[in-house]
Amino acid sequence: MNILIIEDDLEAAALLQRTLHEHGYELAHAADGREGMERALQGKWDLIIADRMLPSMDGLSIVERLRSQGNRTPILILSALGNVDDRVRGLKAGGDDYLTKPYAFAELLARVEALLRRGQAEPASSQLSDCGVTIDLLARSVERDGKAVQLTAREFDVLVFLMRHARQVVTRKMLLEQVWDLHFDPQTNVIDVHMSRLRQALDRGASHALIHTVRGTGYMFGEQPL
Amino acid sequence: MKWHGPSFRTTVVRLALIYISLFTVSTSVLFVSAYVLTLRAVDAGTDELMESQLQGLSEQYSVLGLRGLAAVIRERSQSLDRSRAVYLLADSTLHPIVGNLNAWPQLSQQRGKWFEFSVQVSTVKGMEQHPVRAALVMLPDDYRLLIGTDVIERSRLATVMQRAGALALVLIVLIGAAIAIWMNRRLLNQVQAIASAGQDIANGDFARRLPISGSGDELDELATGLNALLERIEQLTLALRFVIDGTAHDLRGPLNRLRMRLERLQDTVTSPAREQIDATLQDADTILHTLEALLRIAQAQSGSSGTEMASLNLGPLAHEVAELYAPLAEENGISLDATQLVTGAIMANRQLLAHAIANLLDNAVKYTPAGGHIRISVSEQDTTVTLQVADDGPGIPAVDRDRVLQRFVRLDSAQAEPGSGLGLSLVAAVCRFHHAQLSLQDAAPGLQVALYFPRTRSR
Repeated sequence: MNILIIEDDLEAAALLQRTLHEHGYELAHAADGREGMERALQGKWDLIIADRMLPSMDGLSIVERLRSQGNRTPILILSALGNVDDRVRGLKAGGDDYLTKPYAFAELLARVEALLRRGQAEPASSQLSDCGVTIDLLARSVERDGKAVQLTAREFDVLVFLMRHARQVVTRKMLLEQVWDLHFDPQTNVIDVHMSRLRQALDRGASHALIHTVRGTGYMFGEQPL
Repeated sequence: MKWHGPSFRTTVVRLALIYISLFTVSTSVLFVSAYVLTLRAVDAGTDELMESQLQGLSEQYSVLGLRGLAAVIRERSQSLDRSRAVYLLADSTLHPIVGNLNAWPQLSQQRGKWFEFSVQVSTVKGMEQHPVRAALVMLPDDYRLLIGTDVIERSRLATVMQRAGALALVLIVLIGAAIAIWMNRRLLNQVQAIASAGQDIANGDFARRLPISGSGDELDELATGLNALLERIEQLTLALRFVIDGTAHDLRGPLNRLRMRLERLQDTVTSPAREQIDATLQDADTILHTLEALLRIAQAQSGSSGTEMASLNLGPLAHEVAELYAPLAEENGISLDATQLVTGAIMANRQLLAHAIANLLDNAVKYTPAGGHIRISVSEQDTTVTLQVADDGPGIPAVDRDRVLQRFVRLDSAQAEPGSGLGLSLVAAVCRFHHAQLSLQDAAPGLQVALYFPRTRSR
């Protein structure tokens, strides 16, 4: 997996490269906007991580330029700007995800993985089936091992999101952003309570748990914990 | 601040009325005195004439006696349509002897030494009543002589002057009113243009300036002065935004590297260094969290660039956030009632507003004991949409209610609870951003927080 990092903070870029490298990714780095743009067009990348504010050409312009040329490489925008609507603007420009600095490596890794897997997304279907759980997206019904599972509307959405990212870490922030469309940190950890309810409903009468807690980070759907 | 049109309009109308009545009164005084003085001069002329007649006839009488007097009067008195002079000599039974009156008149009205009565005069237009001023002279043997003047010209003059005066008065009132209306409209237009610009500026359009008519009048002077003030405010606001954005950017970079390094160290060391690093990471996250909260408050407060408003329904948003907190409330043995939510269309920034509602529910859950109740409701009034979050926890004493809206204030009773103390400050800042009124009320028992948003009129 080849990732291009466009980041003018050299030390941050080095730390990021080292960490991603340890997780098995191949990396290249560009330190300013124009260079980043050139490399993005020349190479064959699975993912581009671009800082929002860059010398010579800012991150949003790079994203817009790439998209207007038909380049569909997943792009994760990193930003030191935390304005409420900056994220919206980043996604509108064509970014696939948006992360505000500072971030935890775990958060970044989870998003990198999610974006890379999205590249090889499953064909659109009205059914999701994994680990003995079947979801009918149209009827909004769930079965585990042939038995119906009763979920609230929101629990259903959370389960769909987890299953679409099966065997990947899903962070609390990702859930808040993508299931609830809320982009702030609640003072109390409200997500965990939702998750424990979803777990209870899903695991009732079953032999083993399918939703695992990833310490300090989030959750994962799958037969085995990480 | 909101512009109160009607009260200013009444001020203007009152001023116009005062001016018009001043005009009217002064014109009236002028006219009445002219009227009185003119008539007095006319009367003085008439009186002088009669006095000299009286004197002349008295002399005739004393020289020629009654017979001679009668002869003189006969000679002088002509028919009334040709002469203004009135003569009548009568005996003790008031029987006329000589003169140009057919009968002795009723001498009932007396002003000073003059009697006033009216006589029939035949003119080209027919018979007319003419007023007469006359003096009565008593002669020996109870003979009496009446010498008078037909004062029809005087009363005609009086009528003409009265009519002219009335007409002038009406014209003055009309012209005065027209001028007052025109001037007021000009003034009002200018003031309203300033007021509407002021409203836009208050709503966050800091680049807007007050209009200057170019006439160089006092309002222009005022607008110029205020524009200088606005220029300064805009500069300060821009500086504030620059500081906010700059601070955000300049703190996030180093914090990012700090976090990254600590995270990378985490896996390379063992206890007890590991615990130290974990704790340091937690502190870094706390700093970050507070920074985020402060920045968000500052952004909401300064109407920072890149914080957009869109039309949004408050009820469904409140429902979503309530749904996020429902399991947490239930876990704590608190019932969360979110059934009274109407649509509530307002202009808002979804993220800021959701954050504020989440903070309100977070507080409510934190401070309501097990077995308690929280109710979130959205209702619509004529011009407002109200969001209320009420709990039956300990509430906030009335004296502390203003204080808790300030940054970092946490009541002593709340010191045990985790939190930055910025929760309600953010709510207050978000309210200001949305031009909403925030009020902390007594839910007896408990706290009720009410947010009053301006309602969007459906078109």
